[in-house]
Amino acid sequence: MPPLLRAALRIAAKDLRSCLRDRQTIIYAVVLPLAMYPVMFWIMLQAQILIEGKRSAQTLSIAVLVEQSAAERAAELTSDLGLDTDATSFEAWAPLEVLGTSEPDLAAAARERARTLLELDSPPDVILAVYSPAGEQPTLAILYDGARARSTNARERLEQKLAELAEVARDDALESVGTDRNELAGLEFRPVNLATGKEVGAFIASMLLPMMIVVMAVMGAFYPAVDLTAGERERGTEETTLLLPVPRTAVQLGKLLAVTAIGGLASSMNLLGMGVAAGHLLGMTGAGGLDFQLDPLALLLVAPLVLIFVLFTSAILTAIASFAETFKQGQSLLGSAQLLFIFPAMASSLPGLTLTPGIAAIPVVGAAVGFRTILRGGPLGELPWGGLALCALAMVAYATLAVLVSVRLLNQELRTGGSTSVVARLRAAVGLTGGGSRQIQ
Amino acid sequence: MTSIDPQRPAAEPVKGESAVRTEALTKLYADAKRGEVRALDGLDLDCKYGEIYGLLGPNGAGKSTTLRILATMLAPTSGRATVAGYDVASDSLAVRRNVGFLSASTGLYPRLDVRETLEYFGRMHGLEERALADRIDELIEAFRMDSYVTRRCEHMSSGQKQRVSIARAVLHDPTVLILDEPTTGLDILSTSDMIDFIASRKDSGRCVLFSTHVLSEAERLCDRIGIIHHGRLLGSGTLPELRERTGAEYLDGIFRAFVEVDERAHIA
Repeated sequence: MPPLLRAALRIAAKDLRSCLRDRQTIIYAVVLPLAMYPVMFWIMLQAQILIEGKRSAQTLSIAVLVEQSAAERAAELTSDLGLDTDATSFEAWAPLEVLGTSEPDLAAAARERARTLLELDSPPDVILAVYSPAGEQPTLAILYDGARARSTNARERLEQKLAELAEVARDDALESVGTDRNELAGLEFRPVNLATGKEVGAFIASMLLPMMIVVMAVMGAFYPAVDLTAGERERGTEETTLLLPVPRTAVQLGKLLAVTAIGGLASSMNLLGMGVAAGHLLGMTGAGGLDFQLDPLALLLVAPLVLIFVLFTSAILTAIASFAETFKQGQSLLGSAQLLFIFPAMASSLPGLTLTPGIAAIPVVGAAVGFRTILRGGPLGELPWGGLALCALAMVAYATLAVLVSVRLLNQELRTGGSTSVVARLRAAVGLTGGGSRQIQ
Repeated sequence: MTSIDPQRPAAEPVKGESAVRTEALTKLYADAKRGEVRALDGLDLDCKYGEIYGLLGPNGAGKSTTLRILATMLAPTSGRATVAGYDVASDSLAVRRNVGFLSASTGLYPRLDVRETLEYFGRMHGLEERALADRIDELIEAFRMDSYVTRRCEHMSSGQKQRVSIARAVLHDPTVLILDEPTTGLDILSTSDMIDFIASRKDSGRCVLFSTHVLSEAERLCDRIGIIHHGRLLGSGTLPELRERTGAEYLDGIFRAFVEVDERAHIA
């Protein structure tokens, strides 16, 4: 084994041991991922049940606006809807409002009147307008306030009741002309999804998982990246490390390997926790016949790309954290840097985006689209192998660049004697300060 | 002892030969408030194997900068410095293999215990496992660390930490030991142990270069003393030589005499 790599591995092993003894690292990398998702999903499920229960138990009020010529139809409807009995979940809000027949535009008049009603101190939750424009058949309009949850709930409930009434009326009409629904076979249809539940599950997972992988990798590498750079500086052990008889590149490489290992561990734990919790939740809710089991081959294929992505993420975060003087400063820097990963990762949910060479080379975007392409499954021969290889190579190149920037920063500090601010370090890294000293490896 | 790089065996010390040498060593800092700061201004220094050399000077005189350059923690702006025959700029790895450096900024890894710390440094210096284990046992006994050898460094007292730090610095048996104010913050007993330790290094033909504010330490330990001010070496020699040059009896008087002459020269 080359001495540089051997030294880097020894440094990584020490850093790894040190990090895994840190309570916060264990909490972030193992405990939280395994405990957080089950708890989070359970809370979500309970909240959903609670909200649904409250919605269905809610007593809502309705106002009916009637145009005079449609008064008879309105009376039938209020009866059919049960507004005049206790058998409805609506309570009548007020005596029926009557629109004048002289209105030239009854729809506009109904809207205008409804707005007035909704502005009252105790407005109705929904308004049903019944009118017959120019002697035509009565028309129904549901008027509601889309900015109020109660009103939206009332609209949905009224829609459902009217739809049920329409079904009954339709059957009655068919019966009155001596026919039934079977006679309408040529017009009746129902959509049939040819994809299996597993295929649809894989499709949805391929849209969601890439984003999750990116977020998990960033979360996993965040803490160790700060701990092994700014943290080491704050604890006064950076110089101790630099006293080792190895090149600075080995030191940075060792740190990168340790951050990658912890980042990989945290990402795996996060995905495992989320997968188990989501699977349990979907099992409880039925998930509409969807099957979210991913193809083992797809998982096997995506694993190396995920590993390279974790390496890339760790390298970028470690390089950025190297600019910080204190742990707190490092956390602030990486807090902002997270957005550089999360926004581009949203590309994975954009329809139609394929892994072209251009996309493959864009940091994060290429990886997210690559994850999606693999996770969607399908024949191996149809995978864009060239694009995936380019994506992996680009990430390795960016990671190498990040390590070189860190080493350069370290060497510049040898020239400047150390700086105290992020800006000063940044200036040193790009060579704006230093006084022309020789470099030490 | 083996080296991490087999091409570069550790240098063997020869008593009386130069162990540390600087020639016209200069270090300039860019400071946002003060502009360009000349921390070292053509420093010439020569320390030999088998001697203890004390570097005395007020705060900001350039002592720490000198020692950090020699330990390859800092690069010189110009001039040359060699440690154990190796150039600090062009052969820094060889320098680090042959030097033991201890300062306030070389802390211990808080989450490793004593043995783990020493094993790590020993392996990084390329010591064979068997030799490393023997050496660690030897140091644990020598520095009386056996009662806390499995304790993590974060849970140790400052005196215990200093012992571990010394053990870390001498683990690979460096030919040159550089100590930047090694007794700062130590209690009386730990200070006494440190002084005994420094004295013992001389007997093994090693070179010890250390900076201190405590004049009594320098008087007691040093074979030669260098007085540094404004980044320049104002004078260097044995205590009798310095007495003869300044006419002062004690080291504080000697020190003041050198600094006053330099201050007058600065004003003029």
